[in-house]
Amino acid sequence: MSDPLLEVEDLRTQFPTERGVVEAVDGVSLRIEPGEIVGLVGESGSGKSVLAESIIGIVEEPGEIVGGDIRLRGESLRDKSEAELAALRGGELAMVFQDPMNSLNPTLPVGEQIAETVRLHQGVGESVRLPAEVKRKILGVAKNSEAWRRAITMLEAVEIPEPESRATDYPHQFSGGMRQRAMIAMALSCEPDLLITDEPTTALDVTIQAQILGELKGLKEAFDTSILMITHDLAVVAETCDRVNVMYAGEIVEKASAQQLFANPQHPYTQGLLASTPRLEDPNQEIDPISGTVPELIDIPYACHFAPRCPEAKRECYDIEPEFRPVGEGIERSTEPSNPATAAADGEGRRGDRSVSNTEDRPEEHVAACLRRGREADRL
Amino acid sequence: MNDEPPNARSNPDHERTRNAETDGGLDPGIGRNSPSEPEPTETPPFGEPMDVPPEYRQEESVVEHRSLRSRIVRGLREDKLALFGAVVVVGFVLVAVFAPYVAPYDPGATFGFMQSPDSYSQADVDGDGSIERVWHPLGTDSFGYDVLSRIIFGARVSLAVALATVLVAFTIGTAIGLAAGFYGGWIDSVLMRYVDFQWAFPEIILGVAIIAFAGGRGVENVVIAIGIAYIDDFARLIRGEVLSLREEEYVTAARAIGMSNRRIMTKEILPNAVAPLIVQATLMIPLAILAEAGLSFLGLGVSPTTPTWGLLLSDGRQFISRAWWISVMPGIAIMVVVLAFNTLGDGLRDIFDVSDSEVEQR
Repeated sequence: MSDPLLEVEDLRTQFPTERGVVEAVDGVSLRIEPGEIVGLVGESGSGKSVLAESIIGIVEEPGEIVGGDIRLRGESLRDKSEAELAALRGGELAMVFQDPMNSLNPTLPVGEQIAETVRLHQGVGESVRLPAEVKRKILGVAKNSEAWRRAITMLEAVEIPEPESRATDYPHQFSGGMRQRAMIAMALSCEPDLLITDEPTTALDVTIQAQILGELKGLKEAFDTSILMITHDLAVVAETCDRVNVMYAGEIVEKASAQQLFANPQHPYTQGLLASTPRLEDPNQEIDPISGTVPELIDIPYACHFAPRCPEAKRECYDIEPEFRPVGEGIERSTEPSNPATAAADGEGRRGDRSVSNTEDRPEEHVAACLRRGREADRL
Repeated sequence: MNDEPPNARSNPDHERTRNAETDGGLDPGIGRNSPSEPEPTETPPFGEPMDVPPEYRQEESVVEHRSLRSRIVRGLREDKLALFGAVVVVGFVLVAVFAPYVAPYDPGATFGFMQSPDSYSQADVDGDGSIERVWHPLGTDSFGYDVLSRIIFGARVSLAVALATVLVAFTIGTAIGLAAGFYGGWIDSVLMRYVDFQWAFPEIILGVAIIAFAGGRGVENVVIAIGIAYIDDFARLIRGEVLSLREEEYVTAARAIGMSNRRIMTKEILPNAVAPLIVQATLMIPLAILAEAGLSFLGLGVSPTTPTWGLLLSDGRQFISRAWWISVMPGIAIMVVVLAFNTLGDGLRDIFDVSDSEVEQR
C-alpha cells in the first residue's frame, strides 16, 4: 500500500492519580491508510477514547502522552507546537463525539458553529477576531458570507432538510440524529484527511444509527476521508469497517480485516466479545459473557492485561509480555506465552473445535497463535 | 460460532448519498450558490412514498435568523414585565441626562426649610428680581433644597456610579472567575485566594482603603473603589459555572475543531454562564447605589453638595420623625430603579437563555 495516512507507534498515554499512574493507552500501534475505515473496538474503559484524544492532541490534564509517536503523513504530531496542532484540528484531523446531545454549543445557531470551523481553517477571509465576532453576535451572520454558505452546503450534504432555515436553529431545536449529522457536517466542513468518530451512534436509536453509518460511508467517498471508527458495537464494525483493531485495557490485542475478525477471531478476548453478542439466527445460543470487568488501569502488575479474565490463561501469561505477530493472512494478535512442551498440542486441541476452517486452511499459522514466543522466534 | 460476518446489508442512505453526489447534488466544494436545488435521485429506503395530499401539507416554517438584537426586541415585546423594567430604566437614564431641562429648579436653589410635599414657597427662581410663588411637589429638605430637583439631579451621579461600578466589577470579576475556573491548578488557587481575601474584608472598609490609596474623593475613585469591592461576588459566581461547563462535551468538541483556549472561554463557556451573571448584575446595582451613599456619608464619596440618592437618603435620616419625605422620596426613587433593573435583568436572562425561550415560541 501507499504511505499510511496515520501511523501510531507504541503510544503511551498516562494519567497520574493519587493511587498510581493510570496507563490508559499502553503501547498502542496502529495505522490507517488513505480512504480506509478502521474500527477500534473494546469494552468501556479499555482506553479507546483516550487513544482518540491522544491522536488529535486533546488529552485532558493531568493526562499526558509519555511515549511513542503519532505520525500524520509521516510528520510527527508530537513535535508540533500547540498552535500548529490547533491548526490541524478541525482542519486535517476532525472528531465526532459520542453524545450528540451535548456536543454542540447550546448558545450558538448550528450553522454558525459550522461556519466558525470554516472560518478557523479554510481561510475564507472572514475575521475571527473579537470585533468581528461581536458584530456577528449582535447583527447576526451575513447570509451571503462564504463560511455561512459553506455551512449550509454541509448541512445539505448530511441530509438535513431545509438547510437554510435549519442552519439558524439552535441545537435544542434539533433531534438527536440531526445533531449528530450536524456534528458530522462540522467535522467534515474542512475536508479533513482523518475523521475520528468516538461511538458516533451509541446514543441514537437503530434507524438513525443505520442512516448515520450510511452517511458516514457515503461522505467518506465524497470527501475522500479516512475514518477511525471507535465503537463497542460489533454490528457497527461489521457494517462499516475495512479493518478492525481490538483494544483491551490500554492495549491492542488483535488486528484483522473485518471479515476475518468475525469469521475467525484469534485472541481469546475477541472470541469472548463475539460470544457475548446475542444473535437472532440462533435462539438457543447461550450468551457467553466474558467474566469479570476491565481492570483498573493502575499499575497492572501482570504482563498480559487480559490474563485474569482469560479462559486460556496460564502461569506464563502473568509473567511474560505478550507479543504481536501474524497468525494468519491479515491477522495479528498479541499472543499468549505458554509452556514449550505442551504448546503445540495444547493449542491445536483448543483451537481445533473453535475455528475448524482456519485450522484446515492454514494449520501452521493457526497453531502459531498459541505458541510461546520462543518457538515462534525460531520459526519466523 | 461466528462463521459469517453479521448482516452487512447495503445501506440505502449510503446509496442515496452516492447518487446525489454523481448527480451534482452533493458538492463538497465551497461557495455553491444554489444549495436548495432538489435532489434528483431520491430513493427513500422503503420505496417511493406518495405525495402528501395538498390538504395535509404543512406550511414550511419560515425562521428568521435570530441575532441578539432581534432576540432582545422580541423578548421585550413578549415579556411585559421586562418591558416595564426597560422603560423605567430608560426613563430614569433620560431624566438623568436631561436633568437641567427636566428639574423644576436648580438643585442648589434654597427655599423654605422642610416644607412638606405639595407645598408652596416664595422665591425668586428665574433671577429677575421678582418673587414668585413656587410649588414643591415632593417638599423641601433640611437645607431648603427642592427634593424633586435634588432627586432628578441625584439620578445623574447615582445611576452613573451604579452602572459604572457594576460594569467594573462585572468585567474584572468575570475575567478572574473565568480564568480561575477554566485553567484550574495554581492559577485557580492564586486568583481564588485573592477573592477569598476580599470576601473576608468588609466592602466599605475596602472601599475606604482604595479611595485613600487612589488619592481622595471624586466620582472616578468611588467607581473604582466600589467596583473592586464587588469583584468577588462575580468571580465566585462565574467560577462555579465554568467548573461545570468546562466538562461539557461541546467544550471538548470545540477543542477538537482547533479553537484556542481564549476562544473557547469567550465563545463556548461565557455565553453559557452569562445568565446568572446578568441577574447578579441587576442585584448589584442597588447595592452599589447604597454603597456610594455609605461612602458619601463617610465623606469619602462625591462632595457633599453634589446631590446623590444615597446622600439625600442619609441627609434626611436625622429628620425622619419630623420630615419623612426627605429620605422617603429618594428611597422610593431607589426602590423603583432597583425594581426596574431586576425585572429587566430577569427578562434579559430569559432572552439570553436560548433553550428556554425558543421552545415555547415554536
